[in-house]
Amino acid sequence: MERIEFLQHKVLPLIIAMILFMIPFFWFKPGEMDLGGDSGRLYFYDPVSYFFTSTLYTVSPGSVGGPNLGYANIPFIFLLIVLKHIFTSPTILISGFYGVNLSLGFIFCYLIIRELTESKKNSFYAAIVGGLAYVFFPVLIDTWRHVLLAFNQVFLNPLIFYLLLKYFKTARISILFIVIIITFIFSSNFSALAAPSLFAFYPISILFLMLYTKLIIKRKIIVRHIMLALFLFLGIQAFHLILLISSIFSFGNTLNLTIFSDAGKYDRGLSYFSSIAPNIKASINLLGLPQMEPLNFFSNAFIVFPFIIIISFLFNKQKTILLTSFLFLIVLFFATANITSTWLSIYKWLFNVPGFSMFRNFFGQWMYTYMFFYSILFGQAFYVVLYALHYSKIKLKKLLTFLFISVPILILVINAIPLIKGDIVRKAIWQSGSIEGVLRIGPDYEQALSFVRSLPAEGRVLTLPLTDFGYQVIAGRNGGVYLGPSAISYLAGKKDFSGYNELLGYHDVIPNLIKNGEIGTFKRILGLINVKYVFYDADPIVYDQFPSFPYRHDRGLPKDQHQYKKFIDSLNLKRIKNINNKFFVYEIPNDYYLPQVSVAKRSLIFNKPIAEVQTPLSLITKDNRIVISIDKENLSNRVPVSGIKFDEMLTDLRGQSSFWNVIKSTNTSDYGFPYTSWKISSFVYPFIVIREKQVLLGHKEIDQKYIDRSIFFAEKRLAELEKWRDETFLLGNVKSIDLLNKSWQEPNLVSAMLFKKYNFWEISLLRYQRSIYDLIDKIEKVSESDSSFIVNKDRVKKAVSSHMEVVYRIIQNAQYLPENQKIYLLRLAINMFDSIANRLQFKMQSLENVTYNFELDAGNYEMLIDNKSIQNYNQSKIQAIINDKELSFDDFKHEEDWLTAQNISIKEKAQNTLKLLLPEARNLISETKWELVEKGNFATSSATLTIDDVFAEKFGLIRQIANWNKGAYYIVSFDYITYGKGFKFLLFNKKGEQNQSILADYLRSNKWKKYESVVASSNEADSAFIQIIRQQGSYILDKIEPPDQPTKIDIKNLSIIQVPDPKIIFRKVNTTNDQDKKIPQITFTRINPTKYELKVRNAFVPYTLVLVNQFDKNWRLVDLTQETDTIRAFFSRVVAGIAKTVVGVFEKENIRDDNPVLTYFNGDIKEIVSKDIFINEKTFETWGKKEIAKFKHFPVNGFANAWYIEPSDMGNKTDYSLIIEMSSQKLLYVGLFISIASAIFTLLLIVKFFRK
Amino acid sequence: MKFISKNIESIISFLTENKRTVLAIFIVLIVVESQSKRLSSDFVIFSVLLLYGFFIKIFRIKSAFTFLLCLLLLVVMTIDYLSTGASISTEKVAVWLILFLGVGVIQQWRE
Repeated sequence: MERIEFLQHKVLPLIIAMILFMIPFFWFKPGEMDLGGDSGRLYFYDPVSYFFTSTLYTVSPGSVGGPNLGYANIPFIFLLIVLKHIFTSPTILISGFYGVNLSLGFIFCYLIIRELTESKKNSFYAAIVGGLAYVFFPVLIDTWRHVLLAFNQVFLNPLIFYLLLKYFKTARISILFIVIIITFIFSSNFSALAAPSLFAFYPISILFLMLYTKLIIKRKIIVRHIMLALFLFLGIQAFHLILLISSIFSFGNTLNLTIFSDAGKYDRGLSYFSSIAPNIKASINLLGLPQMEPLNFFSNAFIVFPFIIIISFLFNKQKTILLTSFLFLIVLFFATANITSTWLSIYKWLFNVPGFSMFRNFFGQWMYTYMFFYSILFGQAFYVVLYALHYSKIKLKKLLTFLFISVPILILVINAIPLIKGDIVRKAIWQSGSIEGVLRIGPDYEQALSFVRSLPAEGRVLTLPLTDFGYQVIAGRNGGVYLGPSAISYLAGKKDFSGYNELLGYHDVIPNLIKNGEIGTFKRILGLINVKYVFYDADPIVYDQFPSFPYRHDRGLPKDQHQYKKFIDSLNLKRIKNINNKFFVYEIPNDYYLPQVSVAKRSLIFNKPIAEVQTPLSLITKDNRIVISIDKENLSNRVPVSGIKFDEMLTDLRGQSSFWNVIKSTNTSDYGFPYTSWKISSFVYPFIVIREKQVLLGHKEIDQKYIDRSIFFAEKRLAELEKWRDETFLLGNVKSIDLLNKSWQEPNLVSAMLFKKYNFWEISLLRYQRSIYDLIDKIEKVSESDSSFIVNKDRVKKAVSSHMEVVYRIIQNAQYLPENQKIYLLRLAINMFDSIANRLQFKMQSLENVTYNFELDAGNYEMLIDNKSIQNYNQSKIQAIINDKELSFDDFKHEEDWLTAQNISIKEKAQNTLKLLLPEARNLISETKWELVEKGNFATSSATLTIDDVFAEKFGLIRQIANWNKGAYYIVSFDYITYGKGFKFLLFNKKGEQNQSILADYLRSNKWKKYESVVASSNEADSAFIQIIRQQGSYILDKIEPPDQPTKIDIKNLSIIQVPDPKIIFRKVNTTNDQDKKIPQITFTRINPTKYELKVRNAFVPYTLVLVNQFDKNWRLVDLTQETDTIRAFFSRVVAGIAKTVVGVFEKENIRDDNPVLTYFNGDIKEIVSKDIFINEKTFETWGKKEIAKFKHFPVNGFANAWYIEPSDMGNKTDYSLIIEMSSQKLLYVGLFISIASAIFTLLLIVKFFRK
Repeated sequence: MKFISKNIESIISFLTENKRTVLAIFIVLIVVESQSKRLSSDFVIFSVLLLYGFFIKIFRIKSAFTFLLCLLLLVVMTIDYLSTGASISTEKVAVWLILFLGVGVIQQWRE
């Protein structure tokens, strides 16, 4: 009997664990891997390459070389290298890790339940079922489709929980040491990358264990043990924690911005949370099912699990299960969010806490913790019921016990069949043409990767086809694909741009250049951002089988592989590799290519973003060694550039035009449709009203931000009606909102709370109207001093027009309102919108001349007018007056792109005025006629149009607009009368066959009325047309309209005129001749991605040194011959001396003199090709040495680093050496030393305690 | 003051005498409320929980009763779930279930 019990209790769980371990080995055929996703998991495929390119340095191996957090994976990837050496196959490695997750997840849940139920007789079955529930619950099965690096938490959570539970029960400190060593091996699960799951699981688990120790088993918690363990934990994790803490508190760092900035907390955090929170269901969580997924009928069987839990409470006599339930409920609240509005509001408030935005995707992040507590609660509950059943006196007890044990196991196992078979991991990639994410990488790609790795220059790679987010799609031999971070970056070690978003400021420019066929400029920009090679994957699967994701950007890039090939051929690049007509590598000519480190031939400061890079590029055509410093970037990085002398200053005057308000009024609002959490009838609501008022009062000036915010708050009244319409009352006796406005007073706080004075349809409409009226008053007031500001009425008008549609929809869909009440409300709404429309009438400013008011430094300037921006005018009639000096067309020199006037003297830094007199603008509608859409042949220039037949009613009348330009602004104007009927006016952009509505408004008037509006054409538009249709309402709307009137609209004086927006540049040249400028020659060697050695020759004059890597203040320029005179620097030198000696013991001389040398720009720049050196005697040479040009370090060319170096910085030497280094790498060395020392110390402690 | 306390006492004794009826009405009201299509107001939810706390005090309700109520709510949730999926009413019952489960756990801990 004892033997049977031993077999049952010890061997059976092990057999189950073994079976679970073996399952993943049947998922993949030899050579197959399920790589991809956000973490890519390329470390399973080639851990050695991954280790050296992606983990050892604080600079990212991808695209622009931003901060890297991959160093947290060092121990884990090192473990993978060891395992790969043993097992050789990545398939075995992946299957092994999956097996470990399944088997250890099960076994440690089993052991936890056994411990919590004190290993009593029946707890064996309960622990088995609980363990199986943990690994086979549907919600956990669902996560196998998106395996990330932190996925090891599936087994780590129960493992560490179990060990800690054992510690708290036995107080054996050696267990804590084992836990610490485990955290070191799987440090990625304890790093910033896994912060959400870490903070979701450990605080709550440790709370449980402490309460369990104090309240249940009533043992003492030994504080000195905990303190020692904490100390060792911090020590062992130092290699990533030190850097993490440093990043968190460095201003401008991505992590710092994510945690502390409003954009991080609210835009990326709270907004994301608010958008997904309504979709997370408490009922689905109670059943342990995946959220936001289609569920099958079998999912209903999981109702058994909450049933067993609740039934167990009826028989329960133990406090452990109550404690588990309590913690389970806490986690359930966090994993669900939608449990009462109060909890939802508290949850939202928590986003004010810095760092809480990591829980924006709260369900995914709390889910592992939730399933863990669910499983151990279920195991204990199962034990309680089984115990009750065992000691009950009911008939068929044995049969019932058998059923009770087998039914949940059967449900779990049947549901897990897709996982057991491996179907879950082999699912088709989202939005692909049924392409699996399991692939066997072919020799062609391996050859391509190896070729890219061997490319000599350090330059970047442009990977085509270009995806959205830096993903790369690689087709496997078996028809599956890899879709994840670029293998070229993470395995070949070449920084590459594989995604459209990675192009930062250039992300719109590049696709537009491709679309417009501006190949020369395209290649120049590639060179400017250090792209030396183009890698093209011509496999049709990687592009043509993915019609949407990850190629959703629609910016005129080639539509299929055939067009891609044609496009690449048109680039006329030198092909340096063709692998079986599948993979191609091309080289950018050296004339365009700016090496990783260079000296600028020409430097300029520009007042526009880098997205307008074409302007400086079209002015400086001789050499690509240019640096463009952007005013705004310097400001946002808090970089003063006053000490830097630029060769040129370019000022684009477009922002100072008298039409700027007109142009700006067409900007898209930053606000979406409002989301409302509180009912109008809620007690809290009056406080929300007060807060909104305070927010508006907080605006210092009435600008577009204020206007958008006011519109947003007005729109909230409509959103409230939409959401709570069924609970909103009707006054029912209001004649018009205007009349109500005279009698209704804003209630005070008490009466609003007690008598719910806001909770009426009419009041909401009135409050909406008042908000809009207040806004109109404010716009009119500002317009008294700045007449062009009045155009913002048009912005409000467009918003109101869309609101009108919303209100009609809300009323028509109000199910609880009878028809007569709907008609009553519609009448009120129509009258209200008519009143608002009357107040929004304004007179558009004249378009005859453009005036610019601007400030410039004193000096001699060139004035340039972009030829393209005035091509619609008769150029010979253009005149310019600058500060009363007249310039005619003949005063301008005519070049290909620009009209240039020399010697414009700006005498002092004062307000200057430029007046551009343009010929009369063309009416773009004058050459076309009205057409009836359906009848084709009907065309008229008549001013009176009657829509009286069924076709016209449905499709209306259209009129083409001639000479429509992309990216331009137009004023649409006409007079109309509709005789009480409603019509809709629409203006469409045409892009090929696609029509995009860019202006829509309702027309309704019994008398002649003027319509005027500004509209912006899109950047892709080919042509445009206007359309007038009968308002598409409903039967209720029809009932309101006068029945006896004809359906007729009269239109006259229709005109569409382009707003003059010429591009005018003022150019001040400080250094005239490039040939005279003697820039130094440099030779640079890449030591590793965080360190460059630089030799400078002939540095007689100040120059700008450029490093094409993402701007970061931690990049430093160090002079090895000078020491910093601080105590800290002294200690740094002492430590560096010791480190050098220690490293010197292990290291043999590895410096080679035969490294190949690449030469650019006639020998001005030389690049010595060298292999990366992570550590050697020279690693510490910069410690305590002087940083130079620290305050002349600034961002250029959109993302790169530049230093302005004057001879005095280097003691007037002309030939010298410098080191460019990323200072954060030093912290990694220090952290690694502390971690390794702590790990050795912990291991020694383990040995010591085990010997005892 | 005396008048108020006298009235409260009489209300409590009336409720105690009609304990079963009161609790039955209370439970029926919760189930009916959970089945309405309107979203529950927090005011209603917390008032009901407070009232239930009051009933626990005066009726000396055991945790087992609360868990039976949870079981009933789970049955209602199951029916809702099977018939309408994760609809508003299913969600409302689920929220009531979670809250009463919390009440039951606290009750049983104190017992």
